[in-house]
Amino acid sequence: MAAATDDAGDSNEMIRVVSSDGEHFEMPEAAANLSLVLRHMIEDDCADAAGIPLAVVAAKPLAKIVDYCTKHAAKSSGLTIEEAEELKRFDAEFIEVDTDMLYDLLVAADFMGVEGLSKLAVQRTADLIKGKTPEQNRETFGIVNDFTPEEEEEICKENEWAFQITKPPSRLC
Amino acid sequence: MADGTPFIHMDPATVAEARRRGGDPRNLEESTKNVLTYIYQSLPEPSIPITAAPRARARAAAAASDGVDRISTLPEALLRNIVTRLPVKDAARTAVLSRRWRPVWRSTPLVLVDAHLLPRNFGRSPPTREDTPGIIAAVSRILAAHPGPFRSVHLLCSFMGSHQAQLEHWPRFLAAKGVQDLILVNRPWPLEVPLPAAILRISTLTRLYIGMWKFPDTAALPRNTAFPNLRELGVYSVGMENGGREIEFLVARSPVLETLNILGKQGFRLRLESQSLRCVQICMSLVENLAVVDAPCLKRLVLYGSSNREDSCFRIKIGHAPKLRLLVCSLLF
Repeated sequence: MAAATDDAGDSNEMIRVVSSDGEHFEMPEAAANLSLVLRHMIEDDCADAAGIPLAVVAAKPLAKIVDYCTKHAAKSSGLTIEEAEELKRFDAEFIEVDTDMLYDLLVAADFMGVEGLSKLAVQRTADLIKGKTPEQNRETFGIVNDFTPEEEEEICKENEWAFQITKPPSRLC
Repeated sequence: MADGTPFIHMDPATVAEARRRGGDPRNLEESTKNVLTYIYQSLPEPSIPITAAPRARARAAAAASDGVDRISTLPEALLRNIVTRLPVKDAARTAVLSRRWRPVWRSTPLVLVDAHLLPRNFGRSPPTREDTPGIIAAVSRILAAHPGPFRSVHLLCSFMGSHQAQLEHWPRFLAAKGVQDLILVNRPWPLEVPLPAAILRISTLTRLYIGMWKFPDTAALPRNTAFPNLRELGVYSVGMENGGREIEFLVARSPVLETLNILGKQGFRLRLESQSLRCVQICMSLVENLAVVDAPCLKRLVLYGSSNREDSCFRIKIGHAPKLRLLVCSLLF
């Protein structure tokens, strides 16, 4: 690969990607490098004008992921405290999505190997589950209870200690 | 502290004893509380931090628009990754969601923080003696029920003084299920409840913090005691009969130990010989004699808020420590 540079920040090249439903997107190379899959494709010279096809990522989540990577790549190293705080706020707003989009992001971030986003989406999912009853969680995620009442009772009995609902604790102090 | 406030840390026997000697048990209560607060603040979090209350925004999540269950179609590795970020009760409760979820918690490395078992918020209302039986019963059931591996087990909410029989059972599970990150802090009083010696036979440990115990007699430990994976060790307010030799015993048997934290240790001598230690911190302690004999990797040595006895001489002797870059002595006398 010609003119390879270690410092992604120096490269102004735009990388094109194509969603599973045929939409084209562009992002700076430094942003694309946050995806393990895209980075490998770029290194293998697979990034051309036609764009890298992403067979399992639809346009809607891909637009979000391009957004995420562009923002994070622009502020990747040597962050000031204010910049780190701003990035945190960006993440918090970014991940405030409905459960359908959350699912799409979980799958896409995992598939594309975007570690930061993967963690963010997994944490958001955990936050949604926390402090709720199983019934509330089934409702949030559309999970169908396929146990017989006897089976359900048995599992509850096995883990009796877990079914006393409590408020999540704050940090120890 | 008002006279009518019930004691949290003092047990009736200690209160009676303090009064008999003409002392004020409230002072003991207060200093115990301060030491515990300091210990809690100095302890590390689990490697994947389990955040406090969910952000307010999390409540505003919209349910799946079409009621279709997508989350359950995620690969099991992702489901485990979600469950490992949940406090232990929430994590175990996912088993009852559906058949798909039933095996997930049991196949996720256990992260058990006993503060998550408290019936209320730790920060607002610290655990009392009355909470202990419930916590201990739950911990015992979790340690037995979860097949392992145990990634993190942090137990610091119980008054173990009158529950030593249960305590003796735990090391067997902790060892069999390969605990890596273990924190065990007793809540006094009584002080110096014996730490089960079997804790020191868990060879899978990578991080160990013990607090407010009496250290087992090292002479009675097997000669082949070793911590081949231990990288971080914390010894907080642990009573020792052998003047600090106990710490040397642990260090000598930990070939990859990088960090050693000592807190609230009264009147001890320490002779450090380690090929792997990088950082040693000694806080709020009475060190009489500290000799860094041979520590080729040691970069940081911090003595903070430590003090010597008025009648003794405090000595630090640095022998072979070619990489030592930071030496902090911030002492209060």
